Amino acid sequence: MEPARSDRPSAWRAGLGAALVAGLVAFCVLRLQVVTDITAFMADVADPKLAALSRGMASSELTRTLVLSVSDERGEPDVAIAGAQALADRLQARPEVAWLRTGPGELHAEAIHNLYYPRRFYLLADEAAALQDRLSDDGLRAAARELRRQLGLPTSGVIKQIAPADPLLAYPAQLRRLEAAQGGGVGLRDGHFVAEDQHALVMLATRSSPFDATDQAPLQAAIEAAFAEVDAQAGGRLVLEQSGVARFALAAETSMRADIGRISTVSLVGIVVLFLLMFRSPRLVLLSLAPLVAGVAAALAACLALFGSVHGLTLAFGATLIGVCIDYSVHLFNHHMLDPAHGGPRHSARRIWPGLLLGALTTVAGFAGLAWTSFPGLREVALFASIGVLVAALATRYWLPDLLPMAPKPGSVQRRAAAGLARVVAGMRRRRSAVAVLPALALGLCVVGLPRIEWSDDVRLLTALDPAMLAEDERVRARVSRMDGGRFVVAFGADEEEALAGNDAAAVRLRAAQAAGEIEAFRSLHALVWSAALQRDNAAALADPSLPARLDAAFVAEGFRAGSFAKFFADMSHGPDVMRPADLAATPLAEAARTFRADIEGGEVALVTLLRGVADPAALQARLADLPQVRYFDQQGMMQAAFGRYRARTLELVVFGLVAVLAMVWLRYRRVGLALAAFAPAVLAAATALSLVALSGATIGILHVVALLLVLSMGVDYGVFLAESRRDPGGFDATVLSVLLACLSTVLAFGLLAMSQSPALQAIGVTVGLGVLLSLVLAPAALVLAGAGEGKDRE
Amino acid sequence: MLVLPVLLVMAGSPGRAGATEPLPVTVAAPVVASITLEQLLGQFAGMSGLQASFREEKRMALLAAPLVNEGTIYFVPNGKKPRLARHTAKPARSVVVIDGSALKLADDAGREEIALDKSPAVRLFVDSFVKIFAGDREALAAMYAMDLQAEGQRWTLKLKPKLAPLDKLIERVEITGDGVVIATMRVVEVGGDEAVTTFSAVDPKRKFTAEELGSLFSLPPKPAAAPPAGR
Repeated sequence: MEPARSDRPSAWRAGLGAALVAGLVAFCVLRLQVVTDITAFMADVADPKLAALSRGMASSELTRTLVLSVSDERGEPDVAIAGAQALADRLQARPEVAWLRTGPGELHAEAIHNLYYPRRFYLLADEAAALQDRLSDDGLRAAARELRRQLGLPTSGVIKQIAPADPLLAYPAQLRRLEAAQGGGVGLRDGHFVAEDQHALVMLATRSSPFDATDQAPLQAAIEAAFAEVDAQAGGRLVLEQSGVARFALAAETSMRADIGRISTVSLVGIVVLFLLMFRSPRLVLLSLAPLVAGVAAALAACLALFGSVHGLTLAFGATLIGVCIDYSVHLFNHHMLDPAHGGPRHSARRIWPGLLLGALTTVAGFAGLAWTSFPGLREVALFASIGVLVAALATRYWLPDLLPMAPKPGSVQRRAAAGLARVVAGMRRRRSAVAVLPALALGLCVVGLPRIEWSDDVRLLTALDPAMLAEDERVRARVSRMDGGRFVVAFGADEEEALAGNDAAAVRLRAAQAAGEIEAFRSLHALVWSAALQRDNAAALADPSLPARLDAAFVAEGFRAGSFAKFFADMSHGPDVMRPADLAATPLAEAARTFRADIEGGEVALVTLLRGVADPAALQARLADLPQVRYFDQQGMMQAAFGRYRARTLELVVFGLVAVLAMVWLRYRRVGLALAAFAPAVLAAATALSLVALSGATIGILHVVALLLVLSMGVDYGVFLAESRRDPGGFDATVLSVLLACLSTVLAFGLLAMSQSPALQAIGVTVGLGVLLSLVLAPAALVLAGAGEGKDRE
Repeated sequence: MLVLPVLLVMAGSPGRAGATEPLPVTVAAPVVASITLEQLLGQFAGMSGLQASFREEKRMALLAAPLVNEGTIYFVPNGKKPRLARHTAKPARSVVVIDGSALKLADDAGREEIALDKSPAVRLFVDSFVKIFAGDREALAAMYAMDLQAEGQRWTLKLKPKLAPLDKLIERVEITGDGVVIATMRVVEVGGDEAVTTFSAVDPKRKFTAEELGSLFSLPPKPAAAPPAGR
């Protein structure tokens, strides 16, 4: 029978489809803007302020700072200093470098003196009670005793210089705060930063985010090249060590890029060879990609239209759509070639459409779950995947048939594979009890494996940090600052003054926490500048008209000559205004000050206090609890908690998604046995894959759960495709081949990720590879056990 | 630590301008085989160690009465790393230990450590004494113009600072002694304040046991946690 006219491949429909896809591609090319900011994939935390801060800090001065540490193999500091200076000279003018320092600079001491000494009246005490104590009669007597004590020391010659103008020693106290803020690790030799172990240090900050590989890669190359030159000039005796976030980000990106490049090449070659073997036609191999191109173009265009840009990781994840979308064309090809409908490719497409649509909808249901997560990046992935899968399915139904030949001859491998699989299925039907062993075995594995699942939400497990690089980073960091990474106290404010006030209050509490042993040490902007309000409180207290007489009396009582401190009160009357952070700008402290500050969305200011040795986080949090603008921020703990919440939420969504998928499948088949046969293998396969991972001793994290979504999406597709063909012996054999090819292509696309060096890609690869292979075995077994494809189903 | 404070106090200290001309190193003509600077410093360099009681009297414009400290000093050449310890017993107990790299201090108020590398001003203040006992002529000549007047083994050594910022603060240092037995040290400051230290019970042949080296040249164990910084 001749196919109906409307069923024939039509050039204009093919052209229209091609034009639509070309239009989408053109739109994408014109509007394409890829962003690589990793923070889009950081889990949002419960506290929106801290979440914003966490994004703000990803590109703050602190994370943009690099430390280069140059040492001499023979331990001569002067050789190390000369090397560090030569390295600095070569890097100074690089466009990526915002600032670079090898020492505190010539004017350090004088600039600091000019800044703080005239303002010593504002810096007496940072607590109201302490201020009152210090200016009480007893407090003044104590100050007099302290000055006398210091005058008795061998270093008295130094303190005596300022004593008449600063009897309360406010300026030396400020200098001590500054010194504590310096971290104490860095020493000086001939004006150069030199660590205790004689490493000469170069500190620099980059202009761009450490996660911006386009800037960091050339800088890292320049550092290596410059050092090679400097080292050669020094006779090859220098050693360079580095510390900085950028190196890790760059190494991770380079390694992941290399992994993806290698793996995608292997998988593409594998898939092309497999398809050529099956379909024997380069044209068909190319055409199998048509729905994928349509899906990716539509998804990309949607992202660009909605968000204005697309994230690099979304694109990478989008590439995994190959595994899903290519199944659709393979399914159509197999049906059209092995069990051709008399109506040609359009008719074949119509036959498999209910299965395709159901498969696509169940996949979208799985991915749509991601849209409920709080990662902005994953929401984009969800949109990309949902649109991509739906458009690929629609393209397979409405566009691809018009590109296919009316009656292509199946290849011999394709025919023999289908026949072989048919025999396997027939054999399975004859030995049902043996087939029943398969799910029983899988269930057994689940019973043993699932209780052994060890959940891990440690973010660090997601990135493979080179242990040697990590150790180097820690060594260099220890030379410069002994503060812990990732634990901070943060003071927020609508403006600078408000944030400074919070920071002042936090510093007072932290000092108490330090005295109580809850923390070992802290470094705060408080050491450099106080809020204007606090400074004015100090000045107001000193303006007490009774103070000059009381001070003189207290000091005289401790053995000082009367009238010795008139200069103190004289200076006070014509001192400068209170100090503002902007006053630091012209001093070498400006860079230090900037590292404490993170600007966050909405123009808010966040001031970060660094901590060391947090022994009791709960007590610390309790101490800060009544300061509304101050939070304790444990980046790792917070991320871990966020990932934990996200993992739990994703698991919930997987369960809801499964219920929705089961409902869809049941609505389609209206028979519990058949619905379960289409649906259960995917669930069992996913659970078994997870059990196997757990039994291998690996911990299960967020990426395994995300990978489960993929397994379930594809596994349900296989079940549905098979269930759809249950009444059609020829079609059933073609479907079994489709499922085999789909599985193989998925294993080629995903399973190879298991060989990746990146734990993140590895987790996805292992889970998806195992899950899909298990689906391949369990899906036909379930259909056979449910009695589908025989007897009453074959009407 | 007091490194930065000291450094910065110095940076803002008065009398920054007007360096005085360094005095040449002159040695008074010997009358009766008087000891020369070379010989004196050579004798110091050959000491096995030194212990002496001291009484320091500081007269300052700020104070109505002099500040008096009494105690014991200990010196050990310790190869190329000489160490000096000053144990004050009155009016309050304190210990100051100076070695080539740091000044460490402990008293009732707490502890401090000043890295001398970071604080050239403090080094100048405290190091000269160590350099004299160590007989380090080269280092002394770099820091001071020296003038030795001697009569037999009795001598007076006048040191005039050459380097900033010490030359803005210290007018001169006068040390007297008999052979390696040091008798007095007088530090006269630019503003007129002065400190006179008198030594007695001087033992220039003191040998320290390993135990003494450990106990006398280090700070006593910490009594309690240091007071919180930042006030």
